[in-house]
Amino acid sequence: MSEKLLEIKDLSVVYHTEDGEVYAVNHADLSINKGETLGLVGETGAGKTTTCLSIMRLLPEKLGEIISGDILLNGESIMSKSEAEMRSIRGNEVSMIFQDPMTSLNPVYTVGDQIAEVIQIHNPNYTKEQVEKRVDEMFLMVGLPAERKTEYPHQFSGGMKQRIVIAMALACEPNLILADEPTTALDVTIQAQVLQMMKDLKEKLNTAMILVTHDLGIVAQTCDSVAVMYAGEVIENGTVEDIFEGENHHPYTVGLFGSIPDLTSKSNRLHPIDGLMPDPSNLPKGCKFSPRCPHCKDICKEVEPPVIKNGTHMIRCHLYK
Amino acid sequence: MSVGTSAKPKYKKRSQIAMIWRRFIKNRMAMIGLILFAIMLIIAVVSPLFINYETDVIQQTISERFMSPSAEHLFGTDQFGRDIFSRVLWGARISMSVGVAVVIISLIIGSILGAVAGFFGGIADNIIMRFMDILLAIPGTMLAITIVAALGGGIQNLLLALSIEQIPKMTRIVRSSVLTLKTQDYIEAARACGTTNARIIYRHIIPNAIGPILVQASLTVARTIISVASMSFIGLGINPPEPEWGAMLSEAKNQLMNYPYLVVAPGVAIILTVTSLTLVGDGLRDALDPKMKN
Repeated sequence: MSEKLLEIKDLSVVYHTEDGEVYAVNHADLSINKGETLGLVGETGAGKTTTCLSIMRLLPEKLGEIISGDILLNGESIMSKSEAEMRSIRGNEVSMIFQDPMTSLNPVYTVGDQIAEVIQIHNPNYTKEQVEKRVDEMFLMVGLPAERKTEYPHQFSGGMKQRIVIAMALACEPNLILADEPTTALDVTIQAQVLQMMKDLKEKLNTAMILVTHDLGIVAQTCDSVAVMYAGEVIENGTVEDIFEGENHHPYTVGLFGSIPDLTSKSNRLHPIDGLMPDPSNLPKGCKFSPRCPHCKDICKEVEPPVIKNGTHMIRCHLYK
Repeated sequence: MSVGTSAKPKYKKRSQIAMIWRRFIKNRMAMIGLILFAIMLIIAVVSPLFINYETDVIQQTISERFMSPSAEHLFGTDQFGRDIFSRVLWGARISMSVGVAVVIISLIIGSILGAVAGFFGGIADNIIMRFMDILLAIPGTMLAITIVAALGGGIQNLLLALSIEQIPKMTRIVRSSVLTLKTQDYIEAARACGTTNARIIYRHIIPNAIGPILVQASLTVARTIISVASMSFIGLGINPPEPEWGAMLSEAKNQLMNYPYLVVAPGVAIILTVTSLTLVGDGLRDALDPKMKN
């Protein structure tokens, strides 16, 4: 078995807003091995991005707070690290790819400068030539001509910008990449290109990746394991085989798969999950999914569901007790 | 995918600055303002080459009092027989240098205060901005008069007074830009790369806020030139015999009935300088507005 790179234990995050406490992540457990890809799936507001930001310790100041749990990176807890130590981790050990490449590049600097900045921050003793050489390498790696490094972000297309953002994330060869819906803002053909490139680079550099996405197709293509989040909880977790081919599933996962449009079947309508996600500032008692669950029993509304483990497959549901 | 070295494609390289400049030169009024201001600036810089401060600007020649404009004295002479043309040209040096000095001082202090207040928020923001509110509550000229009256005249105290008048305005502008910029994704991305707060401010936020800052700076020079003139006019600014435009107007006002031409040259000089700077400021504002892209 390969080494554990990141372990999230019982993580709970609260946002203190003016309208009260918002429970964004509730007792989430996740782990990822070196070189693996974990798909983090769930609908908007399920706590996927919050989980990623917690790993970077970049929750909005004074607003977001980790109230319980621990995050271990290479066996060391990042909760006890100082801000300066965190800075040397960010971009170097763990880096993040944001959702929208259009806005995640600074418009007033050339793209080459922006990649160079990351390299300089984490390798202060590099000479100018070494930095430039590395920038050229990164450009080549993500399939862009190095000549274009002197251009500004607005001169690139969305897919190219995302390649640049990826180059920035990979410039210091991190052990873990947090990709927060990296292809959502791109059109479908470019999505496929960028994903393929990310997959290739990840294998080449032996980097682990947490891929946050709505798209189960992407998960099936690129991930080794999958975690399904709902209302801040990891409700199902397992290898891709467990989730896509396993027998038992959390009713929410079943619902997720049910709501994917199918090209082959003749049905005219999609089958969405009934109801809406619960308000994270006022979560239901017991199982968070109970108000929408087709298999809801009395116990679901009262008692938090137990964690049921079957080898690598974890489900949080009363159904399989 | 690499580009062959034999047929190197030529990419159009156009920096942000080049684009802003292109939009600026299309604006005729802004260009007039810029050319006018450039002429003023050149005059201010080169005037010592052909004007002697001692003999042309401050030496009093009683025999040549109140001479009407002629070939020898282009704008005539004043009540002490000094050549008004030389004095107005020399006055540009004073107005420009005070204006630029005030802008530099208020720009540096205002940017730091505004960036800190906007970026960190909370207590720092409250303390800085409430203090600025107090300064803004007092009319600018009153504030300047009070400071000069308390500390005494002279160019240093005048600079101090006018800078204090301008700092709150600069602080507010920088702060509001920072507030909108700090929620941008690329700031978050920079933080996710391990960038320090100080570096985020000076490398990512200030360069993006440079547009409104530049506009404010050019308008501040204009406002300061007026302030200097009005302070000198009421005798609290630059002291005679320095040929400050406001001081010249003040001296000329006593002779206004008999020798009205005395006020024309310094008055026109003030109007031209301030107008040119305002036009430049307006042009910059339009050129920097991304919605104006064409």
